[in-house]
Amino acid sequence: MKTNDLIALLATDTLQPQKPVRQQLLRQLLLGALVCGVLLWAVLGLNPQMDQMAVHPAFITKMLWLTALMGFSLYGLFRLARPGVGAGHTLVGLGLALLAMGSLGVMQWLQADAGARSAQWMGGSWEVCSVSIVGLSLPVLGALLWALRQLAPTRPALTGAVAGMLAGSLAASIYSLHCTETSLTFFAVWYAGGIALVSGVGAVLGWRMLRW
Amino acid sequence: MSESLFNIEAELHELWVQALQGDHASYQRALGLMSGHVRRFLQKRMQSQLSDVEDLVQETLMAIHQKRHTYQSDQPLTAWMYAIARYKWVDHLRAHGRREGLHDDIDDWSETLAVDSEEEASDAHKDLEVVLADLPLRQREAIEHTRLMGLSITETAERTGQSEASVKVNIHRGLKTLMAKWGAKA
Repeated sequence: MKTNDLIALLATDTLQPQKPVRQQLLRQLLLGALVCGVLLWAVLGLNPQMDQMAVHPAFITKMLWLTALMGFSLYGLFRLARPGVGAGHTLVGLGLALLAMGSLGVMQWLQADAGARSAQWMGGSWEVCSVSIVGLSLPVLGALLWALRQLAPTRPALTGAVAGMLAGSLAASIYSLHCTETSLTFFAVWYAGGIALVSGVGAVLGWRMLRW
Repeated sequence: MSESLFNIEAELHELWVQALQGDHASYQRALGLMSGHVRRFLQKRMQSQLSDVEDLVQETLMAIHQKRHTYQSDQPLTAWMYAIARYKWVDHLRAHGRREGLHDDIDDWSETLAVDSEEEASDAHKDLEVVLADLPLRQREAIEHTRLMGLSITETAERTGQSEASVKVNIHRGLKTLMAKWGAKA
């Protein structure tokens, strides 16, 4: 086909363009969060002492940290989904947030008595924590990747990794409604570990699925 | 931003805004201008595969059309357009580059390579004679019998009266001399 014929054809295409980037990503994020919340409620159940947990300093610190992770990765996705826009401060922000929780975890672990150290980082639920976060994050990651396929990321692996980071930190926030741990060391190891795992899965899936 | 890119941006952006309001003629003009810019962008980068440029221009235009909802007015339209062209170009390299980057289409060289007339074939033969003439007789014989006539070492030894060992040595020495003299120019 001649290029001019193609242009004429495209100009007469009456299909409306798709919804803007933010709208598509936010809609899928909400949908994923909803599925994730229902899964938590149906499979794991809420923490019965949630009213006391909600005012615990460790819980508040954790939620601030997870909010920072979600904020930076959503900011990153808004940018990475569009051609000609770089990742901006996404990686610096995510790196600093992870470093902050890592440092808090190490400090708390060093301050603990030698006998209490293993309880400090393994808590009472280390076997299920990361696994639950990964499991809960999968619907969110799926929804985000589906949205990104309608958009135009020019760096598929990085975009997938950031989508995984967003899915993982959202799943971790929802999992927090079930979790009874209050050790920052525990969060730095098992929460961050689960989120990093989801980010890795996102990078691989993104690299394979986000070509256009 | 250079003056010309600034002008391109201004012209395209105005058309694009009108196109987004449903003006088909502006959209068609915008795509037409974009095809020119994208073509020049790709031609610069695909000197060895110019025949693929037009295909890639069309793919880029389709992507621009299908992904037009990813353009937001906080960035230059040209940056968005060139980013899509670059993505399509890199994608093309990934798909074809590994093999075709090393690949020269033989049709491009047919006039240089073809030895289809008697005259050229005999020219080639003369060239070979000139090259071999430089060698000492024994080395020349050894190479001619084994490499040109296709005889074995034993047969060559019988015909030339050399021992088998000296045939081998003379082939080796002769080829080494030829390589030293002609190899670098090949």
